[in-house]
Amino acid sequence: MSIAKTVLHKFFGYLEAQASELIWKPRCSATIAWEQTQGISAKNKTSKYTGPRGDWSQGYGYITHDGFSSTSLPATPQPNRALLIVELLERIGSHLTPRDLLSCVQVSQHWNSVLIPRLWHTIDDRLYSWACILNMRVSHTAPRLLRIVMAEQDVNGSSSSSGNDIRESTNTIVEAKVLKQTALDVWPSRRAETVLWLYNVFKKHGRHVRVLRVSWPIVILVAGITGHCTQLQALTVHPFAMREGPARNREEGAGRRKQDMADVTWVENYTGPTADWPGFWRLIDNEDEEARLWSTNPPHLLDEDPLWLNWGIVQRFWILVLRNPTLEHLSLGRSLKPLAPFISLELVYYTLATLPRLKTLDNRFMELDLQTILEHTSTTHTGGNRNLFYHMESNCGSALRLEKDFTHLTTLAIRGSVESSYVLMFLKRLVNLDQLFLGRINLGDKGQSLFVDMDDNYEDRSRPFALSGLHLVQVGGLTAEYKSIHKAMATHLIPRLPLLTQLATEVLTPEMGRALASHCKQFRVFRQSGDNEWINEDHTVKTELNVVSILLEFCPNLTTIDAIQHQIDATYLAEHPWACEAMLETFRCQIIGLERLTFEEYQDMSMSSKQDTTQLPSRGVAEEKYKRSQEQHHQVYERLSRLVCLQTLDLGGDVKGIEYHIYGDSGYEPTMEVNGRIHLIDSNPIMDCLELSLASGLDQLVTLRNLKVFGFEGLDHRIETAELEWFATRLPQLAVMRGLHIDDSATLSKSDTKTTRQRQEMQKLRPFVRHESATPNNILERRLHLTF
Amino acid sequence: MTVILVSSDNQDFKVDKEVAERSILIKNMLEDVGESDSPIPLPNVTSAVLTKVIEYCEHHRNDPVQVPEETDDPRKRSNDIEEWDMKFMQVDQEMLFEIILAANYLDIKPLLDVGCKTVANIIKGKTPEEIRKAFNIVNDFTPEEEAQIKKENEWAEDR
Repeated sequence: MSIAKTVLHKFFGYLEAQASELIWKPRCSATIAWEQTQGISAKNKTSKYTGPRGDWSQGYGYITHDGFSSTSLPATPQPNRALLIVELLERIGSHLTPRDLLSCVQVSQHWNSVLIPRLWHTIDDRLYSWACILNMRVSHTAPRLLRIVMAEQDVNGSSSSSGNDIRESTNTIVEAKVLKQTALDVWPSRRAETVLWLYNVFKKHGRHVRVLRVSWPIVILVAGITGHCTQLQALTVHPFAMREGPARNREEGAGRRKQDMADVTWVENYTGPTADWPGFWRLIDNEDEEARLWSTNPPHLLDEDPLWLNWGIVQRFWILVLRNPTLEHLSLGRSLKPLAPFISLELVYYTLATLPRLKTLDNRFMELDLQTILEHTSTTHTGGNRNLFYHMESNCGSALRLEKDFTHLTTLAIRGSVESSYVLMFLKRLVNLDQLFLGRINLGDKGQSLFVDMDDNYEDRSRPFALSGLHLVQVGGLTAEYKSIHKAMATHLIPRLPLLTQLATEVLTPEMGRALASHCKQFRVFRQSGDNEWINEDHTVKTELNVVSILLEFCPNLTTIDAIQHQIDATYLAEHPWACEAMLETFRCQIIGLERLTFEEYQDMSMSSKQDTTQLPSRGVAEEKYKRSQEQHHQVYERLSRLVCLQTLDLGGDVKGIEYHIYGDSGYEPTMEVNGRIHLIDSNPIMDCLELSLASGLDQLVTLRNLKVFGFEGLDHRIETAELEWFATRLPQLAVMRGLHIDDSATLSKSDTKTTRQRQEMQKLRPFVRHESATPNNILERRLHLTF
Repeated sequence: MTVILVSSDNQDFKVDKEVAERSILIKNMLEDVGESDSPIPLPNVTSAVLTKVIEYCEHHRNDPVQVPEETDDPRKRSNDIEEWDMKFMQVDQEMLFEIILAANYLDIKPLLDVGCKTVANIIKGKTPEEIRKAFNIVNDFTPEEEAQIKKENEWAEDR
């Protein structure tokens, strides 16, 4: 018996060996090849098969002609082959957040190798646990060290040494090094550990980083020093003061911030080198040496004099920029400025010229001269590149003046105020300019000659420009002061922009509308901008009635009217046919002036129909009004039903007054039931809007098969269950509703209203339709802020 | 105009050219071949999967061609899947991956994206062990390796 057992055992052993020969070998050779490419050697692997020998119950699967088949019998459950394809796994990873990617990289060697680059793609040291790691272990100690160094310097009286004398500042360094031991004594051991960790992880994974956003000087130091961040596409410097730790209250947080700032603002008696000093590049030569020191003794550099430390951060930053010619977006934070004085900006211009792909330059750092930047970039930047320049300073002034022509710039964006005379200058000097974004236009001195060409050097003062997009964030609304700019735009600027397809302004005036209609044959998109100023500010945008109708009537290519604070009268709308019916994709505009029956009028009508008495004088009036109302609704719906390409139909916005946000409403919305329909009394402000009920003809909109967004926020809409069912069944593409959302700005007492009930009903009917407000979040937040 | 597609198990599918051309692979094929009514063999796609893929393309036949828009911000890359697509993707995991592979092979980017988003949604909120379980993946890390990966990437944790 035991002999038979042994024979059988041997036989199975033989089978197993043969099987592994046949099955595993081809797989193994592939695996080995893959491991070689990944740099995995035999010694860091161990055997993973821990099951009993000769156990076939799990099976080994089969080799088929197109690879290892997981579906064959008797198969070990295998990951689907889709998960082995690197490209697919990368694609899946691109939809995951770092938190989930962290789990993924721990799944298996294969997943790790594919998803580590995705995890490290974007590093923002304010997010996730970065602040926790860096704050706890690094920053608390830095000010303490600084205080010690500074105290010692005061004793030695060396802090008042003069100018940029290198020898004297070297003396300071020598003294600082004497203090090193003192500093190290108070340096908690974890700090060194964290800096070493930072150094090592950047050395290992820095090459994967594409987007780096820094608010910790130490991260700049490490990223710059290890030389492994060489594939950056975006580099941003945030304010260094953003050090949110587990502060218990605001005072403590503010106090801490003040303390933390000590290491970045200590330049009042600056005596160290500047960026213009030739020695700026000294440490680059010794890079290898430095890297070696770091790996053995990480705090080495940080023990130095804070002057050198600050200066070193700035230096590292520019080294980092120079190492990354792939950069497309560069944000020069203001916080770099106080670290080390720049006397001339040659270094900055030189560096910018080394970035051929630069698209965005966020320049809060200092006033870089636009013309000088363009001179430096004109040779490196080729045709297809677009440059966006953001200036945040409130008055850019002469830094924006252009005295030469540049052909390479196609997009210019300035997020700051610009004098009106500069608009014309940009259009003239930047001959290929396609898109122009401007923050605020200032009237400037020459208020009378707005946009009027006064330049004698140009033969043709009405020469047209090739601009196709003009985006003005804020011109100033319809206040008297800015009326002249609006007028000048219509009479002098728009006529010279025959290729204009997009315009964004705070408000559309009739003159602007007519100018667009007659001069810009391809005009497609109007957007109302600057809606940050929408609510209860002094200059709430005031618009003229029916002004958007000019574009709708006369611009056959119009696809977008995004102007929710503009209004069209229903009767006017019915009488003026639109030229863009077949093109329009977005319609955000209020339709007002519809006759709507009051509660009493409805009551009159219902009374009369029940009792059949002709004595009620108000009955006739109400019926007449009802007829007119029905007729108006029919006409408006008929017009809207022709917009078969429409994707967004938004007829309202949140127009509640400030009182509402302070006091809330009392927890119920007053309603009355007449003829089985619920009517709101006195609740929503837009009372003469379209009634969105089936009775009034909503069903005519059944032709809008492509509608994705439907908005009726703040309207007296009279939507009921039947209408919700209609939305759910007749609008197959519907993805967003604006009007039944949770109102964050409402008070808590207002929790169980009709809106909530209707939202729940809609969520049952179409669970994937999202409910949101038409009002941007930042405005809601600001209003909340005003309330409390 | 219609096109005949042949699945790996030799079933013929007659579809409108417009629908078939949602697949860039087929679109390019048709452009290369020119006017021809010979069937197009798709040896990598079974009839069950092809039925699903055609269902998707039929539903999205009128969609505008997507401009490839790569946002790098994971917060912006929301995983909102259209309602119809989400229901369409309610299949077993085997089928889900087969659809992804077919979309990859046929080069139908929107379908591939929806598939990948669906898989990403399965992964969300799971621990490494739960992910392994969900997809039958064997842990080939030593405990030391695991600890090291955790340490190196601890910044991504929620704290």
